[in-house]
Amino acid sequence: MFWQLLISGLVIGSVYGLIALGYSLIYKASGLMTFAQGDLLTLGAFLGVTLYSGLNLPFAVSLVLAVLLAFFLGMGVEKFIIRRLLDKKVMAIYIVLATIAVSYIIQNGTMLGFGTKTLYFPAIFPFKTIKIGSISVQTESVVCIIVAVLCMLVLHFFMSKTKLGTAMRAASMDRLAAEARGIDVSLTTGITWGLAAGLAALGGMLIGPVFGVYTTLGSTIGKKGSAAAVTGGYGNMYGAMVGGLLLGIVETMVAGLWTSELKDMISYIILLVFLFLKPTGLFNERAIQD
Amino acid sequence: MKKLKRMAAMLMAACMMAGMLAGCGSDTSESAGTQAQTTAAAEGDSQEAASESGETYKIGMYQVMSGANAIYGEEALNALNMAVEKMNAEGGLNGVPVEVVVYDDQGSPEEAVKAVTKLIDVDQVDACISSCISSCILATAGALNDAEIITFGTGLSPTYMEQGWEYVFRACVNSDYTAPQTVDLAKKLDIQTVAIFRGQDESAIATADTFSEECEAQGIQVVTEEAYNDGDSDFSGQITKIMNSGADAVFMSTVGATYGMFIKQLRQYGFEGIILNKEALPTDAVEVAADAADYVAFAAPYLTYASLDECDDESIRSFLEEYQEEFGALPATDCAFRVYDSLLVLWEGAKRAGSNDASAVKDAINQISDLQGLCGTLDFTDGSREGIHSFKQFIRVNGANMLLDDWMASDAYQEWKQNRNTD
Repeated sequence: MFWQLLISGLVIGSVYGLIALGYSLIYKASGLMTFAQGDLLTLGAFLGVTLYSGLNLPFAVSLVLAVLLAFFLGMGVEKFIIRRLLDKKVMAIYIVLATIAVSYIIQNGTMLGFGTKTLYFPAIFPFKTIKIGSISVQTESVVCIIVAVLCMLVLHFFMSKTKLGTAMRAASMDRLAAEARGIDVSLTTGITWGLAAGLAALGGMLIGPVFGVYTTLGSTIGKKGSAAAVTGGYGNMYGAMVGGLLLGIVETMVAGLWTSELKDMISYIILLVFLFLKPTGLFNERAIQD
Repeated sequence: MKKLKRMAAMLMAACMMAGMLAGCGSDTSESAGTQAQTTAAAEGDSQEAASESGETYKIGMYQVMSGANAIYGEEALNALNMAVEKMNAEGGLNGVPVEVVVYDDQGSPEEAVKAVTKLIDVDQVDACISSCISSCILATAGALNDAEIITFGTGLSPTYMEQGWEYVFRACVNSDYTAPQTVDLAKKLDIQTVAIFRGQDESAIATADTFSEECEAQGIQVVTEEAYNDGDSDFSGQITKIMNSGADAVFMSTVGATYGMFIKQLRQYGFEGIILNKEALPTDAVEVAADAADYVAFAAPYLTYASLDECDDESIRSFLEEYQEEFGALPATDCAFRVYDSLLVLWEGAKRAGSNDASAVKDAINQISDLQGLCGTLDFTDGSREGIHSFKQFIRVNGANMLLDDWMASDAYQEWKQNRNTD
């Protein structure tokens, strides 16, 4: 039973981690917070099911198109909403509120555009489950873990080793100095939001076949992804993933070994206690100290 | 930057607390605010008559029109408009054109209270179709009853009908009535132990409680009862516990998108037994679960259909044909049936009363004993204000719903039984 719960926790935790990566990426590169990641995941799943199942495109093509569409949407959100608000020098809380507004627009927009029914997302792989010992896990779930870990490694490398990543971090630290060094701050921040939206869409494409696709698919996952990012150390890519896995394992263990009724409450109390004990997160990101 | 981060930390803490509270509550959606949709359903001559005299019969409805369960509200609204169109085509209710006022309750009792206050005080409706979310009805039907407004609940929980509200009727399933049928079904299939998987809203809990009591009375052991929070999509913790309990069958008391996800995950974990349900499975859930939805059994007055060809009930087929023609697709849930039958009862009550006076209509409804609805015969004469008293037992086998008795008389059942004994 323990191993079954552990694997299940890792599977859902990797989804939280994937979403948390988006939160951390935006924070790391722009110093801003968003609450639209969960609903961008929903949108990604809807785009994916439309391209893959509705237009019968190959999965790889659907995936690339859905991620690209989400990327440009993310860039659009930054350019037309976030950047304009920042230019007006609004308080940071308004940026957060703007992302909450975006999240509701996506949620209701998907309802209008794709309907209220839960859509069936066909399986991506011909073999439905993978056996790990005596435990059966849906193939897409295993892929989700692998993709999440790969994304974490690539993003960490991208942010710390590439020119663009360094430019993004520089832009978040001191916009004026970054611009003086020739960095196009608007573009780098836009790319960050685009990447985060693309990550969310990728998550949606991967979990669509596991859970089906419906308008609130990403709402709870988005909240938990956000909690995971904080747990790991807001802005730290490894922290986002580890935080996601930890949250997934804790809530699955609580539900399986203790109480399913209060699993969220207990999991969040644990996280709240964790925040007090280690406010910089597991990976000691100094995000909330500087 | 420091200020921003302090604010962000505070916001995060607030969100986490909100998440915790949501986990304990039963709110089903997070969609935009209450939204009024006033549809002047009266058409043609009736509409002209209405504009001349100014008198209309207002039917209000509050339903979950946004969020995870919005499909129930959307289909309820379609059925409402269909029925009202028919009423108006035949001269309205006792010659008075019918008008519709609809609000989104977002599946939340708080929003439902706001909607009902508006329906009573501002719109001054003459009759009301209540939400399919029972907790919303429980929070509001008392006010409608006090205002002497004929009200039809479309939620399945027994609780709101136990409040003694004499203006509140139901022309859909009472889960207290189907629970004994479901347990009887389990007995027929020689199920000895059962696990319960339920939501945390009023209806899910009440249904699970009744089922559990009935199991105890019939000698079936409930080995574990697992719950989920609204918005959950992963049930691995609960399923692992269910699998380890060794239950022969699992009873689901859930709603909306959860059906398909849960069934699919349960089968993936290797559960091969019968899955019992509190109602007919919505067709979108069946699509998501695909072949995992086989061997889901339930007691219900009607089924939902993925295509017209599947439907062999004449009155439902005729309704579905009209529905499909008007809205381009078949209803995925039975909520359209619930609302349509409710309006048939209201119409019949008004006809029998010979007036639209609420008290007269109420008394007339209590005299209805033989009205043919989509559910079969509606009978309100026992004083319970419940219209449906007979149900059929169904099981889904090889991608199709069939009567349990028919399946048990077939070779397929013998084969299933043999396989089960071998396992």
